[in-house]
Amino acid sequence: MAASSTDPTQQLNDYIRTMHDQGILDDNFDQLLALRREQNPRFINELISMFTNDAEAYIAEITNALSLIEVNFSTIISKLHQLKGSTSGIGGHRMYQACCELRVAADDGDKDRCDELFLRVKEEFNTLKQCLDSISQMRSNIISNGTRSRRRRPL
Amino acid sequence: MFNLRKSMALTLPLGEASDQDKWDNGGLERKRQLLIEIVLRSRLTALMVDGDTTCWVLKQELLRSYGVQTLGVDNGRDAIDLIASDAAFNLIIIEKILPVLNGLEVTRQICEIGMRCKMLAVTAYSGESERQAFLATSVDVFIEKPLDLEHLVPILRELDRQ
Repeated sequence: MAASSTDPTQQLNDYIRTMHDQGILDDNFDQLLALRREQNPRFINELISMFTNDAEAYIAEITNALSLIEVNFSTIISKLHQLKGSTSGIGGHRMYQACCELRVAADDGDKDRCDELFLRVKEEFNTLKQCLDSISQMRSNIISNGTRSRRRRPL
Repeated sequence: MFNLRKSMALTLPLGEASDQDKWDNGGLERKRQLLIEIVLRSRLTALMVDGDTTCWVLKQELLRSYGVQTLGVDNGRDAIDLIASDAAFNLIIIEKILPVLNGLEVTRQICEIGMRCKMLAVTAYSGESERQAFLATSVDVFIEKPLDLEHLVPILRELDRQ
């Protein structure tokens, strides 16, 4: 019989599985989970926060570059390259795919196509961010509950 | 003065998977297995050259998991200055897009300086021409980001045997 759905760990596992099934996360996120540090259980949450902050900065720079009268495709390509790299590292599959499509349009110097595909990049980022925020919150709750449990143990 | 992100080598006690991360995904178990597949006998050192924080931290954690001592710089010029100052590394991992000097130029200059070590280009893949351009600069391996355990383990094993 399946574990209780009220078990926080099971809920987290089910959620991650769902994100895999929907293509939002891929195996690279599994690599993060495997790297979880015993000495720093908040490592994954910190990395998620780091990624989110960096991604927002890259997206802001691409937005600026696209808004210019003479679109700066060089900047777009450069920032997109970095965004792709960090997205692949965090395991954001659908967002990564969106970045790849935008890269083609930027290489072609097609502003209209860039505008259209950049919207998709931002949508996928919002989806990924919500997913990662949920995972962070669930992990924080599990870590906190684990800490409280250890304090209650008899010496 | 370099903008260094130093980290000390640590051999981490991996321990057993806790309930926090019990995840019945075969991929996760495979990754965990790769993390304990080798125990390095040598104290290896690696230089990471990457301007992106997330990617830098990920590579650092991967390497530290095997006890590799890591040093990082976030631009090409600092990487060249470090190599030119006779700093020695077993492994250099370099990204293509870098501030000041791009990864291709950094790789070329490292070769000109005469630094002998394993060089990996780890970059967000943008096409075959990018791969060929990097390989033409004498990097040993071209890896599409992110640096993964399946690529890293054989490389570390090879370096450990040398």
